[in-house]
Amino acid sequence: MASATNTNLNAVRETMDVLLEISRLLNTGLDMESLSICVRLCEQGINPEALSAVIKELRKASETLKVSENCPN
Amino acid sequence: MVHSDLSKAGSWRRLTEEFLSSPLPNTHGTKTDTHYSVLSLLLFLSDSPSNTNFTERPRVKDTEPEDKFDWSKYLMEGEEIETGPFPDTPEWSEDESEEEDSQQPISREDSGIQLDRTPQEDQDTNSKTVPVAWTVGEPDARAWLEQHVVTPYWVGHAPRFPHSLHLHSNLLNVWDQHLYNTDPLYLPEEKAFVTETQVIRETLWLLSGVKKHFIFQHHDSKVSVRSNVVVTHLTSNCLRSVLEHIAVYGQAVFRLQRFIDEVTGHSSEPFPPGVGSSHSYRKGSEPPFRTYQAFVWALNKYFTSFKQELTTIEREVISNDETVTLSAVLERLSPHLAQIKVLHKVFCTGVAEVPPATPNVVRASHLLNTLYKAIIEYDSVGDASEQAVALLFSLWTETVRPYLEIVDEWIVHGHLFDPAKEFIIQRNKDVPVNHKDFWYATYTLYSVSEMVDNEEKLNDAASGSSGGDQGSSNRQLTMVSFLKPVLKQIIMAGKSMQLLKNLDCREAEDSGRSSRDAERKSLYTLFLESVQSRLSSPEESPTDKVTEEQATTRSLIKMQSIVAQHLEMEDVHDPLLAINFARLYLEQRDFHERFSGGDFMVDRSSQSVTCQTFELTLRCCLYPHIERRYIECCGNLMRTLKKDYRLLEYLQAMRKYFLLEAGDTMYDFYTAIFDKVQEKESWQQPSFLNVLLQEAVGQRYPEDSGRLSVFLEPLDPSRKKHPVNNLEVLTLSYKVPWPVDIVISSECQKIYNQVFLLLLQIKWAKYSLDTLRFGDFAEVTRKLEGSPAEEVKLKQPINQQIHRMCLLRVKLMHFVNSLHNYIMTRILHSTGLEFQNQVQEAKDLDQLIKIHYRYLATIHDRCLLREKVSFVKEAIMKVLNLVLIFSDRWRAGFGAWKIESIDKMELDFKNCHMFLVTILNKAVRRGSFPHRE
Repeated sequence: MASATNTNLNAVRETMDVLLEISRLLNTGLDMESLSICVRLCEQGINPEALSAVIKELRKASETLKVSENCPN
Repeated sequence: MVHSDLSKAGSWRRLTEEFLSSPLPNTHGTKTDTHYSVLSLLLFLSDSPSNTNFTERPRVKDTEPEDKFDWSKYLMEGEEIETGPFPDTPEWSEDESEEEDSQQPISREDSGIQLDRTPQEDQDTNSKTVPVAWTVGEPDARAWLEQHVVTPYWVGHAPRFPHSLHLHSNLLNVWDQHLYNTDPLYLPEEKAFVTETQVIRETLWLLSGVKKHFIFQHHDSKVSVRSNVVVTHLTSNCLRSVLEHIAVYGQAVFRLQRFIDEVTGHSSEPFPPGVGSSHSYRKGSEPPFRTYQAFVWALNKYFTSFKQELTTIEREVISNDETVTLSAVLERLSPHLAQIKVLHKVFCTGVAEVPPATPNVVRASHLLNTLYKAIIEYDSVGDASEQAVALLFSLWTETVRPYLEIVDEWIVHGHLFDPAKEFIIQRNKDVPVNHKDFWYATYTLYSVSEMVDNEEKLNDAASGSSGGDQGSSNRQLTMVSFLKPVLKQIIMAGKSMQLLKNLDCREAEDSGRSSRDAERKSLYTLFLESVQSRLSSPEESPTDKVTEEQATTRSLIKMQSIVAQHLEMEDVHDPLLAINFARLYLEQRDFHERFSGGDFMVDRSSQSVTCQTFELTLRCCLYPHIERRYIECCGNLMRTLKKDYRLLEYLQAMRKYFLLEAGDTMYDFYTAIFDKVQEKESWQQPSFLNVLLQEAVGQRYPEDSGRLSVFLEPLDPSRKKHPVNNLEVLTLSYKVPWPVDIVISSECQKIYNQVFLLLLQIKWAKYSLDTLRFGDFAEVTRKLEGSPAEEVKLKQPINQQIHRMCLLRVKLMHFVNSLHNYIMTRILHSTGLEFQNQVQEAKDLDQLIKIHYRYLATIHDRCLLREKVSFVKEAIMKVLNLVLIFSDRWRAGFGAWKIESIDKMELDFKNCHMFLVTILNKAVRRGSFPHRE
């Protein structure tokens, strides 16, 4: 049983690697962790278009935060 | 997309192919929707891929190490278990409905997208804690559960779960750091970390009555918060205050739950036999205490709905569709929590504070009184506590049900069925219905005053209702206050019913009545129906109600305009006051148009009991039924007594014989006695007297001759000096059958007897005067006339003497006659007429008894038999005595007396006469004898 688990784990790890490559190819800007989170979200059934919109929004927001942090300095 | 970048295109194609054919963590199969959605996500996020340089990195496939090392086991050997919590998993509690959840694959909780930096170890844990699609049921299931389901945070040294280092999420550490920096003595304590979801779930479990928790601890029915429980995003004090707030409610829930269990007998804690009697309200052999049971039933209903709400919330927490925070849960539960608080308060006052040895009577009435007072209290607050009032009202209606059923049973069937002795009126079992003291001694009314907390047994407060209430009116009577206005009627109705039932046993049963019993609605049903109709919408009400409402509306609007005018007139420009007045009156109008009550058998939570209406509701819904029943059955009883038992005839008979209204009959009787006395023969023999009586009565009223009898009592020797008191040995008695002897009791007969004796004495005096003959002196005068002249000198005084005797006799006769007439006509006759009128109008037996007593008291007073005016009576007696002596002397013949005795007699008479005249004149002037003109 444990070996099966491990095999499974490995397979999944490979899938994630492939996905990482694809996302690098497409220049999405996602790192491994974010990617895994996105995968999990999609598995739960979230609409990908909506999710992508959210991610873009969050990025914009964090950018503005960083800018405002840097400005007073 | 590709922009003719062949290498990229090729990589793209290869990679997508590979991706689509490889499995995803939680999805079965390849090329599923999930795969495609992931791909589409990446495509959406793509940001000019053609501008970037991309080289595919070669990936090295990890080969399986040969030794099959169990990484998870190895990693978990140490203290640092880095598996995260998996709260979204099967319940630990005993809910069976949740068992299916355990069969489903587990997913890891997502605390939202974290864009901030997380500890690096997270990367590693990610790969290690990818969940497994297992089903529970493995032999090492428990171990597995411990590893994968929930971090056992209740164990000491529980593992820490990863959390972000964002300020908001890491407040605890930041605060700790701050304290550490500022306070040199600060030592960070050992803490147990929990997540907010765990806190929420523990709260929900606490409120639904589960006993074993980690966060909340139980000591002797007090719930406290375990110290050192922290969440990462709040300081420990903050969390503690919130949790303590919850703990209070948890404690209330527990107390109520324990009470419910005790009463229903489902106690989970074993009681030691000795202690059980003081704690448990119900033992095996004791009859059920219905009021408490009804109360518990109502509480139970409330708790069922409350627990449903809790379960709903818990399901939402589990399904995790939206974020659930502790404050949101508390907000949602706040109306319920407020209601629990109200319930707990009522419970504490009404049940818990009662000392264990109090009898059920006091307990039941205390509980009902507490509920009643609470309703009034919350009612007066106004709309703000509408929920509380509705809840309390439904509780009250439920709790009062056994009481009303007891009352109902009693006033309809005459049978007080109360095995647990919780009703305020107890049946005294020793007194059977036929007993002569039945009316008074059968029922005992309990009254407890709160201030002194003593028990007073008022013997039958109903008939001595004025007496009983006066006795304790200076203290606060707190018995079952909602029944107080109709208590008298209930008691009267109940006793009358019982009496009727026993009377009816002797007569033919009215079969029609018993068949109607099945269709008869009980008092409780009637009460609920009335409440229902009062609160239901007007469309269902008949037209006369509508017009009545319209009239009410119109009058209310008129009131409102009047009030508005007044306010304007007095230059009171207080808009708030005006608004409140408007609200007051218009609300009354709208009151009738409010919510319907629904099916009253099921839904007793009438939501529209608004202000000022609780007492009104009671007055309209409960009391009329009771009063109607009272009038009905008391009228029944009166009718039965008058018709079937000839009550009036017996009263008449008493007056005939004792008050000498049957003049001719009694004349025969007493003249025979007087004759004997005059002839100085012994007459004080019971047999002689009885025979005399029977003969006299038997001529006209044969049926009564069997009931009358004469008794002789020995007389006080000091009283024997005056011959007039010789008659006082007589006692007349009239045997009255049950149930009439409830009205004509032996005390009444004594009073009757006293009046009878007085009358007899007067009659005696009159008789003896009447039978004196002037002719007795004729001989003497003739003798005198024939005597020689030398005796002429003696003639004068003799003539004078005779003349004086005659004068005296006439004066005495006048006195006695006027007294006799006065008593017979003014007092006895007129009072008798009054009495008869009142008897016609008497509505119930108590009233009748009172009327009778009053009548007797009046006669007693007016015949001067009262203690205070005994000197008047003595004076009269003296005169009567004088009369008797005089008549004796007269009969004894001329020579039997001397001039001095005549003088003395005349003097005595004059004195008495003057004395009486002055006294009575004074009294008349004072107004104390209005009838004596």
